[in-house]
Amino acid sequence: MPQPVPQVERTGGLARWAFAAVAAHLLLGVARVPGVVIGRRLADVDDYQRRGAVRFFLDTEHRGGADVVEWIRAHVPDAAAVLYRGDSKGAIEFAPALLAPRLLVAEGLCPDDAVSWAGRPLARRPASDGGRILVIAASDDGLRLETR
Amino acid sequence: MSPLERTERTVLAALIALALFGGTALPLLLLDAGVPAALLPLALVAGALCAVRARIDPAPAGRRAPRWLSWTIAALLAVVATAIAFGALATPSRHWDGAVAWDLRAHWLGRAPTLAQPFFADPAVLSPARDYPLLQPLLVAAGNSLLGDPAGRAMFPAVFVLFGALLGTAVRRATGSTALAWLVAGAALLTPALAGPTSGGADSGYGDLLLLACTTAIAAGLATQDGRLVFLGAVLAVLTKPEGLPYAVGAAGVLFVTGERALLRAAAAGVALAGAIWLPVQQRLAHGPEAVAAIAFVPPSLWLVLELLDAGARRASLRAGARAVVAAALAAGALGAAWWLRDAIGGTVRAYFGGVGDPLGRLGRLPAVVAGAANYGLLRGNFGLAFWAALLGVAAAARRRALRPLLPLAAFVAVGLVLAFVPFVLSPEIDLQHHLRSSMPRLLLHWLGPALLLGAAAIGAASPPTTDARPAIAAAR
Repeated sequence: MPQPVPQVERTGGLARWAFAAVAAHLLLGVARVPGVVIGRRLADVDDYQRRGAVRFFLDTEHRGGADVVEWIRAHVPDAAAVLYRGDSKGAIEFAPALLAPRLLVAEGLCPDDAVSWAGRPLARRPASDGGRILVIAASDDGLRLETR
Repeated sequence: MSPLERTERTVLAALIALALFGGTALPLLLLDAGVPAALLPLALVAGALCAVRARIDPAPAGRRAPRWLSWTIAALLAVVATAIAFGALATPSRHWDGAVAWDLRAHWLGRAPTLAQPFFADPAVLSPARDYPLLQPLLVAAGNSLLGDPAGRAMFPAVFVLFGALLGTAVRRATGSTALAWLVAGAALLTPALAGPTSGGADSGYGDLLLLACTTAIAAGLATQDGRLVFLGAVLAVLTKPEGLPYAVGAAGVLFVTGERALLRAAAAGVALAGAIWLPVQQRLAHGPEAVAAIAFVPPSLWLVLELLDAGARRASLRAGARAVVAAALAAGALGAAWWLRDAIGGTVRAYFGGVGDPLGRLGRLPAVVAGAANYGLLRGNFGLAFWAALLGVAAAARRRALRPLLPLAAFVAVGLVLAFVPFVLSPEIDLQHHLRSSMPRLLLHWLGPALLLGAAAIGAASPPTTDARPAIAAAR
């Protein structure tokens, strides 16, 4: 036997308000499409492409360390491991992605006399600059390059 | 075949393919066998074949949407989906977790799809979010391997569309209204927290979009009495993000309380299967103790316990209230076990339960957490009027005494929102306001689809019946 089906287009009271909320939500969403969904997204993409990933993430009001990452990318081979010490939260969180395929290894877990880790040479300063093993020193808002 | 059935088959095919891919890839990782990129197209073909043969009920009768409405919303959504596809493909992830956690895993799995490499195997190597689930990075890596970087990131606009289709078809089947289905799907996909270029947004690279699709699949299964959606949503939730496991367990708990046996089996089986697959991998990623093999037996054992409890509750004719007491005792036991075993389990569990030395002090955070949820969910605009629509719809259905058929879905949303509060109460993060600001919108995003579906189903339940057929949510009960 045929059964009744609710016709939501013919609602009353609170259900009408709920229906209106859905419709208003949709209209608010539509209003944001040109400026935010498209405009701000294009601006974000442009900013990222113009500045590059390193500056985009680590040259901001709240986070620094772009110079350190750029120096390592320019001078340390891809197949190296780079030691780090300090906070494991904050700016350092971006380092594994920005330095990949190099690996970041906790200095405290690496013996003092080690020259390699997991078959990878530890990153060093150039021989002309003493050749000492590099360590990224991480703080909440930035990175510094030190040696051990 | 009606457009509804066609869309439902496509949605089912995609969910089955994702579950097959994840369900095969993770055991391969555990065995150090490597995950061939060809697994992705194979899973897609298998998903399509399963969906073609699946039983799909004919579309329930109801009024069609005005053509101008469906075309207008479809055109708008095409524009938004194009913007999201551009945002996903033009650069790698431009937001925190997307860059530091999700993209990084996809990078290493793309170079070598195995856990037998230092990034995953060496605890000395810095790996933010070390024990996060790997389904999404595996998908991106497989796409990149097959079609070249950054093709794998096309999964983000694809999941965005999948989410909209899942929600729209569920609303159509639950309420009988095609117009409401289009409106709700359009509203959901245009929600600022999802469509905007923000942390957790569709193209941010975070796992929240895929988890949103999972919770919506579970909610759709509850609303339409489709155990397949509940099962697939539960499986995928566990494999997608750490929050997915408690969400899927929450769905099983709700179904235990409401006594929906077939759906309970679907949810519990999904959690048991996915948990047995994922937890050993999680243990290995977290460099936990050598309990890797044993932990695989925990979820199926808990499923068995739940089955026995459900059978006992049926024999004793326990009502929902008594079942809720049993479920609450189980939940308390699970939390206690997680706290007791925090060091043995390691990873995220240790991080969150390790600092709970002062339970009352932590509970003191609760008012601020609830206020934060109200702020971000209802007042700030991240979610527009989505949660308001759900609240008003539920109030309307309650006023007409039509809430009963919606109880499992409403309880799922309520439990999910409560679960979303837990990380803020347990977290070692000292600055609660910072934690709320950075995480609350993303946790609420997981409940956007279920809440809108609840609101739509409630509108349907509260509306005067006028024609000659009834929708699934009413017919099923």
